[in-house]
Amino acid sequence: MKHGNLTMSWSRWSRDPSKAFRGNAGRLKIKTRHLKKGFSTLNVDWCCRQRTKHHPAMDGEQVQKAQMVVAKDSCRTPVGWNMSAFATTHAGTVLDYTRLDESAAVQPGRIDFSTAGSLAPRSVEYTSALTTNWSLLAALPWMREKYKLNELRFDLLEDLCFLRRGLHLTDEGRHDFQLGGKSVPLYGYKMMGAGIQPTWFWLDEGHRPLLMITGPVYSLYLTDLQQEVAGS
Amino acid sequence: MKNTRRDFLKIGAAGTAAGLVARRAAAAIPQQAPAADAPNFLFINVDQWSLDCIGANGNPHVKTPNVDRMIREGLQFKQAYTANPVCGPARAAWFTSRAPSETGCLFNGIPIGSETIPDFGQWFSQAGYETVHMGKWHFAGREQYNSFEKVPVGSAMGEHLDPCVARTMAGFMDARVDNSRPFLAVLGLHNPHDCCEWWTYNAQVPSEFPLPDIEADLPPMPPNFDVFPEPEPFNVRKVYRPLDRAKNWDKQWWQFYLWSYYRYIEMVDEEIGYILDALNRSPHRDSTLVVLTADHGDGHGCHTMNGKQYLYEDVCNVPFVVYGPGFVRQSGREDADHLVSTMDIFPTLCDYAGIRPPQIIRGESIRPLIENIRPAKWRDFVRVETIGTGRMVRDSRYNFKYIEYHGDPVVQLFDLQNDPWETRNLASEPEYAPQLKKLRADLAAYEAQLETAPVHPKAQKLIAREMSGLSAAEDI
Repeated sequence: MKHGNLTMSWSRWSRDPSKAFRGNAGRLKIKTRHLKKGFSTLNVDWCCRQRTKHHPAMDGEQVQKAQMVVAKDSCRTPVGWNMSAFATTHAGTVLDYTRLDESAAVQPGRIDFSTAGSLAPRSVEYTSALTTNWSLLAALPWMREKYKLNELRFDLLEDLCFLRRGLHLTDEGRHDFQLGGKSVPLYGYKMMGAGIQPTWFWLDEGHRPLLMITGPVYSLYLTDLQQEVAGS
Repeated sequence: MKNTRRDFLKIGAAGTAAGLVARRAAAAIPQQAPAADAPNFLFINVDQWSLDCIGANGNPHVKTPNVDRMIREGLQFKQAYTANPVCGPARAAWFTSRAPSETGCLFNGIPIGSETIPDFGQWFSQAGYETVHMGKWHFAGREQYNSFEKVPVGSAMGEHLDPCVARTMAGFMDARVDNSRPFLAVLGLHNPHDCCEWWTYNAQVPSEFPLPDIEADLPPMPPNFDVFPEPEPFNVRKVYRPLDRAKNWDKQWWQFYLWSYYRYIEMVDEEIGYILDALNRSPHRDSTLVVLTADHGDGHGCHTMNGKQYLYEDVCNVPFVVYGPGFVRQSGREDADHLVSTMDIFPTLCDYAGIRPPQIIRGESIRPLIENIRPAKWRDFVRVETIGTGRMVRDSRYNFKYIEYHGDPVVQLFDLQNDPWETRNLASEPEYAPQLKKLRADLAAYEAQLETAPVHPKAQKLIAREMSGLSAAEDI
């Protein structure tokens, strides 16, 4: 895989065993655009969809949209972002009373958040390198090829909201899977630490993150990838 | 009563919830405005969290800095009991302050037997509160949009949707501009209940341990892991313990289960911290009373059991923390003396709001305890029931606990003062006959006052399954 502007889309899936919620799903779409001086922007569109068939509001989507600036380093360390989160009805109408518009700037060891509404600013301390569950997907393709790393340690800010501290990502090497009579090589990475279930990322030979599986019920599948322009 | 699609179309999407709440509530609930200085309420409930699986309660194997902080800055009740150690009945009981045998919600999916029993969503909506419910509900026969004005997000698996639920509640706090009336916000977080899916997918033990890098760090099992307080009732021996999901597990796999359960707890702890942080940054910080509890715990290996439904302490004695700088007198206190029930939540909220509670409730306001005013009289026992077949009563004065299952000659008596892990059944020992007699009398007296609901046909089927040695099925 080459550096370049890139759009990756994943389908979000829950292996919820209860029939009522097995339809829950969602999407993750990340558009990467390269800036000068070692930074990129990530445009993130993330949603969790409900299909309860009970009520218009409950059958809507939980949506997050973010514009992030990240450093082109091994963690794709976030520098700052604007994030908007809201719930919608099944018809796509935004429920204003759920709206959270937040911006953040990352300082060494600290993230400063401010919202557009009535909440006072907050700061969250992190203790080591920092990434997010979204920028990590942008970082993984380069971990082996460019940075020659077989492990990373970081704090991970999930959905730009929840800090999972002291995580450890390790290169699990190549595994050949049999699929339709063919051998398909995949490259595995395992992430562990407090506050998460063991999480596996599987990348193809082009270093594209095809699959993320965390815990027994939750996974992401790469469904679309567009390499638009070969960049720096 | 169930709403039809036609109902929604008539009323229109906007204002649907408020309209329905008012309509449903009108018949059963008297009009009464809250007091002028009525506070806001944030009720955070989690699913399947055992009391001893909290860092602040002495467990070094799970990191819970946010609930630890709630305990440090609030008030923790160490003798708090669910009304029923199963999700649906437990939730119906805390929303109505009625015993499960009165609501008729005896198990998951068995609907409430009466529309005239109000829940606190209806009660506070009718009183003029802005009511919002986000996340897990699981109150069969009553939909949250008939009880709360705003219901923007339901519930799926914890790992899948809890972050959305927590973030949506933060959005509610950030976006709120109309402060003309107080709010009652309920946040139902699903985790650590995802452990139930863990065991579904990990029923078989592989030949090699899959995560060798944590093998040396697996947590120890509870001290009663392989201790069976015999004789044990039929349901415990034949129904609850030997479930298929764990029958092939060795001790290491149990430790791996416990390790995974702790990670789910850490996951939801961070989400609780996120919400508390949002509340503390909001204009409502000093005017909001926060209550945190769980519908039940998890066996987490105690007596070689996981899951719930039975009546040992690991699933019945639940976390219960009250937090709020303007409410808790002498923060950081721990109340290990007073028996509290999750059915106390409804009357407590009414007490603070200055609203009359419903005429018939089984809970009591714990406001005096929160304000550190030792009440002249407090309950001296608490009762828990399960499935309609089992009941326990816990005594506060002597710290004894009695368990019986319907039709089973084997009963259990535990001295929780000297045997908190319930390792020795004293029921057949003659010197404990007075305690046994007293607790049986307490149970009989309590049950004599209950307005027991007719047993739903689904529940009859379920009880028959239990009695014949089959476990309760989720699809019943």
